[in-house]
Order: sequence, then C-alpha cells, then structure tokens
Amino acid sequence: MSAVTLTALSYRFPASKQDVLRTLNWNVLEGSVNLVVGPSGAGKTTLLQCLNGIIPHFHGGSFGGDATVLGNNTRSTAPRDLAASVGTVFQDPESQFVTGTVEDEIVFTMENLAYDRQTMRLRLEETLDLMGIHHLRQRAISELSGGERQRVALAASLASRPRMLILDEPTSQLDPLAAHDILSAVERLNLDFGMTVVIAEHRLDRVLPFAENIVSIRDTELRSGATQEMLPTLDDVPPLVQFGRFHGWHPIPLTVRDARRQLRTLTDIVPHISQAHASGDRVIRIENVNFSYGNTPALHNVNLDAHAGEVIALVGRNGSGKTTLLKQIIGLLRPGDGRVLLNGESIASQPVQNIASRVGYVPQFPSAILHQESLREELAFTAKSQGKTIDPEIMTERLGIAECLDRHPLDLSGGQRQRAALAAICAAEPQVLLLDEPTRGLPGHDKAILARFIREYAAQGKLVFIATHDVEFLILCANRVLTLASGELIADGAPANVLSGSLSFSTQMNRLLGGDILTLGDAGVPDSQLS
Amino acid sequence: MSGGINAVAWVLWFLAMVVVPLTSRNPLYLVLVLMVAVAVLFSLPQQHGQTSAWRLFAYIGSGVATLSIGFNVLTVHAGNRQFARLPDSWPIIGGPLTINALVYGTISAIAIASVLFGAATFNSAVRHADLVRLLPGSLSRFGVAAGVALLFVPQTISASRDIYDAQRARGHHFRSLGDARAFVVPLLSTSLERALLLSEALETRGFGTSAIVRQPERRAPLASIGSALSIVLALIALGLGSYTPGILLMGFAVALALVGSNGHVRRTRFRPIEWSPRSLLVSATSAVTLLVLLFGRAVTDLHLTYDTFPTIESPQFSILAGAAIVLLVLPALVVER
Repeated sequence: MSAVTLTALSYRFPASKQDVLRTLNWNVLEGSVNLVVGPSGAGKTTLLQCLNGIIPHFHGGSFGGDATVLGNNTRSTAPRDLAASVGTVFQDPESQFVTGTVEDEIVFTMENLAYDRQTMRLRLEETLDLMGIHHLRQRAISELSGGERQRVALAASLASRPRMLILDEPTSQLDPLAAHDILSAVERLNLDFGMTVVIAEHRLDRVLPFAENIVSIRDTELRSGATQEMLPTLDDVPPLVQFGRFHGWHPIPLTVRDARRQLRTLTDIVPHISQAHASGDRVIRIENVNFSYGNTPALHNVNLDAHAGEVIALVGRNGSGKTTLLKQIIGLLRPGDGRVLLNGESIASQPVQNIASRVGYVPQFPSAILHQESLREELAFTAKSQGKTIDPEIMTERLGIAECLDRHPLDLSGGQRQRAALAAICAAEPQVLLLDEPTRGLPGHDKAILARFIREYAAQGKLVFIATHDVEFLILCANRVLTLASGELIADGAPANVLSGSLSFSTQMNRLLGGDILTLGDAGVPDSQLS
Repeated sequence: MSGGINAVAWVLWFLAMVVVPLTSRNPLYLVLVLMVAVAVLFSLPQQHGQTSAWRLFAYIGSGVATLSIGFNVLTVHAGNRQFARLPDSWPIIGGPLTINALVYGTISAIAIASVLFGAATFNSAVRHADLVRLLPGSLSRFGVAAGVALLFVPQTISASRDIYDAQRARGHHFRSLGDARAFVVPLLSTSLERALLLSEALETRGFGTSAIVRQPERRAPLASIGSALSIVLALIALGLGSYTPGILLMGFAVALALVGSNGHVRRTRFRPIEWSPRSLLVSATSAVTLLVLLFGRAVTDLHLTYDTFPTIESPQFSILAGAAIVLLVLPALVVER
C-alpha cells in the first residue's frame, strides 16, 4: 500500500521564475525508509513540505499535480489535519519548539489531537525511554545542548505515534554518537511499528545503512529506486561506497561490517599515508584558560599553541566546549582565568572589533552576519570596512557559489548561506579563521570544495580552526586535531594519531582498514577515481 | 508551577496589577504599583530561563516610554503653568509649553513602565504552556497564538545578542544610527524567518486541528449575539463614565467572540492545575485587590482619578486603595527560590 503518491507534482515559489519541482511522480510504500538526496538548494526541503501539506497551504506560489499522503489529498487537507498521521522534524529544531520545557513540548501535539491524559502519560514515558531523555524531562529547552534539543524535537514528533515521519537533516547538528542514537530510534520505530520514514540528509554515511530507497533530486527532476540500484548513479557518496565501487564489489557495502566481509577478497592494500603539513610561527597561545557559564564550567585549564599554516580541527561531543573555545579566541567571551595571546600579545584589553581585523569568525548560524542586498555587496562591505580590495568572482568561484553572487544572501539555501558567510569573512583575509560547524547543510561535493578552500587558505600562512562533528570532512583539510571533553583538552596531535581507532571520531576507512589509514587516498584509491 | 505559585494565581496577580495603570492616573498609586512590580520581578528565581530576557524588555520599553514626556510637552499646550513658548506658526508643536503637560507626560510614562514591569514579571513567572492549559479547548487557538507571541519576545532578544556578537566579530562598529543596519536587517529577517517556521511547526503539530469535532456546534451564533450585545452595553457604560463595568463588559464581549469563533476545536490538557498554599494565598490577595480597586469606590472615594489640567493639585491618597496595591507584593515574599 502506498503511503505517498505524487502525480505530476510541480511547484514554483511566489515571485520565482523557475520551478523548484517539475512534474514529479513518486510512490512511497507504507513502512519503507526513503532517503532524499541532492545538491544544496535542489529542492529537498520543498519536497518534504509537499508531503506534510505546508505546500500548498502555507507559502503560496504555483502548485501543480497532486500529492496524496496516507489517503489524504494535500490540496484539500490542511497540514494541521495531517498531524495525527504525519510527524515532521525540521532542519533547525529551535524553530519548532512551541513551549518552554521538555515534557510540555513532547505532549503538545497529543494535546492538540485531544488524547486523553492516561494515553498521553503512557506515550510520554515510552518516548522519553525510546529517545533516552528521561533525565531531561523537567528541563527548560533553553538550557539544552544542540544534540539534546534535536532529540527532544524528534521525541515531540514521535510521541503521538504518527504513521509517517518526515525528517529534514535530523543529524546535522549532532556528534556521531548522538546521531547514531537518533537514527537507531527511528530505525526501531520503522522495524517495530512499520512507521514510514522520509529523510533528507547530507550525511549519507549515517543513513544509508537503513535506507531501503533513495530518491535523488537534481535540476527540478526526481529519480528514485532501491538503494543498491541508485548508488551507482549518485555522485555524492560516502568513502565506503566509493571504496566498494573502486574495487567493483557487489552489492556495494553500506556499513563497515558489509565492507569487512568483502575485504577478504582483496589481496593487497598499499597504504599511502598523508604527510603532515609544515607549520610556521606561533600565532595563538592559550594559557591555562578556564571559563564558566554561571555555575556551569565550560572550559577547564586549556593550554594550546597554534601556528601559521595549521588547520586545527576541534572535535568533541555536543556541549564539550568547542564553540566556547572559538569565542575565547575572538574575544566574544573572556577567560575567567588564564589568557589568550595573539601574535604574542594578550587580547584581554582589546575590543572585539580590533581583534576582528586579524581573526575572522564564521558562526554556526550564518544569517547573523548577512545584511546586504546581495552577496556581491556583502563582500564589498567587508572589503571596504577592512580597507582591502577583493575580486568577488574569484572568491565565490573558489567556494562554489559564483552563481549566488547577485542573489540576496537570505534567499540562499542553508549550505549556500554557510559558504556566503565564509566568503564575507574571508574577504578581509584574516590571519586566523575560526569556523563553527562549517559543513552544516553541505553535500559531499561542496564539502570537498570547502576543504580545498581551507587548505589553500592555510597554505598562505594563515591559521584555521574548525569546530566540527564531521570527521570525513576534517580529514580532507585538517593537519591537527584537538579533542575536547567536558571543557578539557584530552587529545592533541596529527589526525592519524587522534582519530585512528577512536570509537566516536574515526573515519569509515579507518574503521574498515585500521592502522593509520583515514582517507580513501590513504587506502590507495587514486584521486582520479574519487567522486 | 513557577516559584511554587500556579498560573491561575499569577493571572489574577497580573490582572490586579494592571488595573491601576489602566484605570488611574494618580501618581501615588502608579509609583506604588511600579515599585511592587519591580520588587516581585527581582524576587523571582534567577535560574528561570526567561527572566533576564524579560527584564531587558522592561528596561528598553520603559526607556521608550519616557519619550511620551517630551511628546506630551510638545503637543499638549494646555495648563496654567507655562515655562516656555514655541512660535504659534509651527504646526502641532507651536504654542505654550506647560509644566502641567510635563507632569502628565511623566505620569503616563510611569503608568506605561508599571505595565511593562508587570508584564515582564508575569511572563518571567509563568510558563506560557501553563497559560494555554488554563484556557478551555474552544479558546486554545487564541491561547497558543498568544503563547507563541510571548515566546517570540525572549527568542528575539536572544537572537539580537547573537547578531550583535557576530557583527562585532566581523569588525563592525556601532557608532551611529546608520551602523545599526548591520544589526537591524539580520534581526528583522531572522525574526520573520523564525515566525514563519514557528507557524509551520504549529500547523504540522496539529495546532487548531478541525479533525476532531466535539458536538454539532450551536454555541457560535449565541456567542456572537452575546458578544455584540455586550459591546453595545460596554459602550453605553463607558459613555456614561462607568469605566469599571465598561471594561468588564468589553472583556466579556471579547471572550464570547473567541468562544464563538473557535467552537469546533477540541484540546485536552496533560497537566492538572496544582493548588499549593502559596498559590491560594496569592490568588486570594490578588482577588481582594481586584475587588477593592474595581468596586471599592461604591463604599468610599479611592481617589483613582487625577488630572494636571487646568491646574496642578496635590494627589490624594486612600488608605484602602494603597493597602490593596501593597498586597500585590505578596509573591515577592512567598515565591519559592
């Protein structure tokens, strides 16, 4: 039985001249898990909005064809009336919270659907157990970390037990362990209760293992099929899939366990371990830095030297202190104890604006810094205020967003906006660049472009810090990795030393082949064979 | 339960508190009620997430309220105590500037500030989800919309801090009004974006669903007629100078209109209202204050009315009204810290 039937579905946003989706036909079987993939800005979120009825009821625009979801035609059924059977988790959990506390949030949908108190109580307890958030039940949402909020958002959508669950990049803000927990819960609901799942996600390595079908959107068109049928046709796939393709394995491995079984057929893998980059003069020194938010410690006795030419990745679980450390370097937060030195001078007495001429900071949510009418004007604004001359075409070309130059920054997709903010900051060519989760919303191809940009930037004698959960990304550009746990620096070294064998932060290739192998290149796959 | 006091008690407290600035311009009462609101606001537990955001809201709002003093002086040219004069040929602001207008503007600013501090206290103390639960199912749509609006203010304040930090980190200096563009544009765009996303979230989470209908509705026409009748009576009462019955009738009319417009929506409540001794005490004292301020004038003159035109007189003080207002400080004494 079909959960979703799209018939000649087309959609165009108001005031837009181009269709986002054009005459799409798609059939989703009830109880299946479907992964939506496509480049940044291809229309993945728009497709999901057609399934929960937000389109055509909310945004206006031109809507053609039909979408039938669990027997309801979305033209005649409002999203609120689909809520009993369709749950949605938004890309940014912050945007979907309506109440102030965890329990209130989880029961909110059930209250709207007029569940009796006993049923609500039962569902609440089950959902808290399922998501492992019993300990958070009385907490205010404003006090939760990003990962905890994502779990609460998912719990709030699951509590009413919808027949279908729509997830828009549910793991984009999560560390690997938290992402695994979330996706395991979704998988269990699918297996045990037959819940249909439609999930848009850029981190394919996380979702592919349990996706039955893939739907790919590119240039307004849709292709769909079983996972193994679709994989050979996709450009952007995780390292494990590329490794399987390179060795001609069939079926293509989706998990490290699958790959390990096929690995026996290989007789020789000659590792080509990447060499560490040379580094220059010391730029940043962090001495005995401690910091607390009120009574909650965030950094504890952090010591660190960072040099020109280094690309330093900060890894650690949600709430481990990565963003706090970046804010110490730019001076947005000041140490309780200890000091931060920039080129040998303490920044303690320097205003943020002065530090900013040498340190560029791209926050996790880039909308906070974009305020001009176009990306071109945004770059010109930075160049003017810092007294620099830049060529906007070259800068945006290097970041793969040249086509966005004359568009309004806030009309861009999440991934494009992220790179637009980076371009706006890099236009000033700061000596130190701080990036907070720069791959949020970026597909693999764009991550590779970003990694190349960062490598080239550091090669000019600059220092780059990246706070990230994306291990497959960081090994493409970082030459040093710092691990933070509960505000303490617990590991510092070359990627191979820190990441190899790590339960939480190793790469797919390392989990498969062990040793110091981290990338496909290390495993002997030539660059020309990489997608 | 916030600070051990339930939402019903806080609603009663807030209603009693705002009655003063809404019905009186006696500066003695207004200053008293402002002090009460500030005392209660600062007695609330600090760990409450929204408190600091709402305090900031009250400070900014009160700052803006002081503009009413200048506006009043420049636009109201009545009163017996002139201190300056602008050329009569100047439109609107031309004419005598009086101390009477200055004093009245100050009184108005204090009234606005007391409402803002009262609102800040109320919103810091009460979880809006609890407010929503107070409403009957038929009013839930209105209640949730109001709740979201309340959530929007602290979220916007929080976003404004992020944007301010991000722009400083970009090297931007806020030296003039023109520099504010780098702050205002992202704030407006992210606020609009967030409002839209919040509305989408409400829709997809079944807010106001019409899928569940309790009974065939017969209430809507009756409620509409009742609402219209109440508005007519309220206007008559206000026209005759009976402000208290007029305000009460107007509130009744709004409530009836809401019942009529949302009669088909059903909603349940997960959390029952808990009545602790603190809640009972605050409810009882707030009810007493309400009764005294609304109906006390039937027994004695409460000196609620006060005017600075045409002459400035010393305001009079009623012990009964003053005591009723002071009762409102009770939450500061009993709130759970």
